[in-house]
Amino acid sequence: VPTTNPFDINRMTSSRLPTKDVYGPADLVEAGFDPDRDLGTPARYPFTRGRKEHGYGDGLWDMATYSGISSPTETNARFRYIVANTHSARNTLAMALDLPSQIGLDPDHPMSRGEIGRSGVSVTSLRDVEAIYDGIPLDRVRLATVANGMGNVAAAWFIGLGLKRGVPMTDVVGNLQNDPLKEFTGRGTYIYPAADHVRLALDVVEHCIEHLPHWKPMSVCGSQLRWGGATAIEEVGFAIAHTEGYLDGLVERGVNVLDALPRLEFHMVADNDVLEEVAKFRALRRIWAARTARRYGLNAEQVSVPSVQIYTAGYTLTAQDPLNNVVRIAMQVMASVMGGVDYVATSSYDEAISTPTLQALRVALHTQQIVAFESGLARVADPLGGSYYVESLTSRIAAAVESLLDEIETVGGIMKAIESGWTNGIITEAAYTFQREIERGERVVVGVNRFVHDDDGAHDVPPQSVDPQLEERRIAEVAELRRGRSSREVSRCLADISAAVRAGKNTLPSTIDAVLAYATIGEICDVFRENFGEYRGA
Amino acid sequence: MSQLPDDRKIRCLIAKVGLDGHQRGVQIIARAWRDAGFEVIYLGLRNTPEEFARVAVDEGVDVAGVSILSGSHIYLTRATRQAMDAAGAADVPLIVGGVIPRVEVDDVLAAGAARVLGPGSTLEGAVAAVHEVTR
Repeated sequence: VPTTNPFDINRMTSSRLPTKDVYGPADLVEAGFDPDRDLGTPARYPFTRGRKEHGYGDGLWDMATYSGISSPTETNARFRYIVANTHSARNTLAMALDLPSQIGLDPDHPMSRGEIGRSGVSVTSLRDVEAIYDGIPLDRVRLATVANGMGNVAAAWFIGLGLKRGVPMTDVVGNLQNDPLKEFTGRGTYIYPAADHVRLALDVVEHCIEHLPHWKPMSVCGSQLRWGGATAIEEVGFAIAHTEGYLDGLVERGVNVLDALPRLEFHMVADNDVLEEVAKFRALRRIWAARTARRYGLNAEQVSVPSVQIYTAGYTLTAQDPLNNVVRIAMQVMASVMGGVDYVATSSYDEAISTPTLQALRVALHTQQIVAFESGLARVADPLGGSYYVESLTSRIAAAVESLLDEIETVGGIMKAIESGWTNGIITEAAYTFQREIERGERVVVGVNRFVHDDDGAHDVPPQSVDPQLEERRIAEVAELRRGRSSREVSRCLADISAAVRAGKNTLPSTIDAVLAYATIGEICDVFRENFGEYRGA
Repeated sequence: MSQLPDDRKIRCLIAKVGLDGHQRGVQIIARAWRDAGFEVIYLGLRNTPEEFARVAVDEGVDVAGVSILSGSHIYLTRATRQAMDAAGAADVPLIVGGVIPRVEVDDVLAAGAARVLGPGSTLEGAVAAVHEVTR
């Protein structure tokens, strides 16, 4: 019996856009699709068909995984493994930090107890960063980390690492997330009030524009909001709104928008709804190009679209039958490649259970290589361009995103939307609806609410173990660090940071000096805490 | 169903303890508990076990819930349970949710959790857990 329920989610995309059984030319008309305006050719405005003229013929996407465990020594071993087993000209080594490091706390802070080395590697000072990258040629890797609240300190670490190793800054490439706004709705590693975080993040971007030609100092995330429960439309809409907020701030400081544009990246998710995701990546580029031209008065030749990084969708991965996640991750990589993204980081199949085991990490890398070299999907640029369904979906997503962006304006702009909790309300509502759809069995999740086996423990993945001695060892190491450095030099550097904050100057140069003097993350962030205050939630 | 024998609504405290900032789970559980008719106090992110325990006592709650996705669930469960016992909330059951591997559920129970809501838990299960521990 054909369904008549307009809310039947099996007849909707993952983001609840209703779909039909068959698409044809009339659907393009209905979606307002204009090929001259909306499509164009690859590498040309409005970039719907991708950023590269020959698609992946111009070079495959960057392949990465997210990794960082326990101690600097163990992370170093894992990074060496990744470098030895991938064959890109530059491997991205994404350093996953533990929570104390991400929130600017030293291992001996009382709030760090129980958290050290859990969700990533514990990093206290430049000494740890030197250990993590020991023996790894810096001109062959891209130094990356998901640092946001302390993105400025992470930038100083990577710059400091290059300086200590004597590698020319033109050979050191950094890739920072450094997107604090989404922490207030998506991820929660904020430290100071939102406006102060924006200032520090822009200090990094401004410094990189002036001094570090190959760095990507900011990767604005729709992904975290999607993980928090948002739809694809909200993912794109908030990513664009946040990026515009940062760009406006840079322009206000006197940075030329044309210098800033190539330095920004988008960090998005790839979900299981393959064709909606393809349409989403195409819509993201198209809306960005059109809005940027309007907003900053640029012509089609001047507009560029930030490169798009994706991380596969951890929230789709299940603890039940975890090997099924290999299939989900593969679909998500395929969607990303058909959507023409620039960088793919794969989750590991055990992500719902723990940080990745080595076996899971290996499959995550191989998944990308199989899509790259066996699937044929990378051979043609924008292979779905012209598809009735995908073009109509691209146009519908673009229109829905524009409405959301208008709505953000009506609530007073993006900073207001965040500070008032408006964004968070939208995301939570979407997450709640999503969860109820799964529990009612409307949204099928194989192995969870459909096709469930009694013996789902058969594929249980053992959680990665963390050395019980690690915490005490890290506390001892920070004490040793403090004994072995010049405390007068550290105090002088910290006072310089404070002076820069109060003088309204860019704080990154003084932060780099402090890092080089082996000031700890906690000491540096305390200077900012004293100046800005701490944010304790809305 | 949402009432105690003395006709009072069940009062629940829910929060993130520790440093983990992933709110999706905790917010939808808070919402589900409200929809089930409980009074819910949501404390937000980054509470210390001591802060959490103090609110549990001050607000006279019947049930307490914490969500932990950072991997430090055994340590934080024990610390929260001990802080609650010390603060005078020894009789308030503690429900612990988050990315808790099945092989560690017994450890979390031994650390002081009355119920564990691991990956794959349902909203319905979260509501049922409150009824079970207040019965």
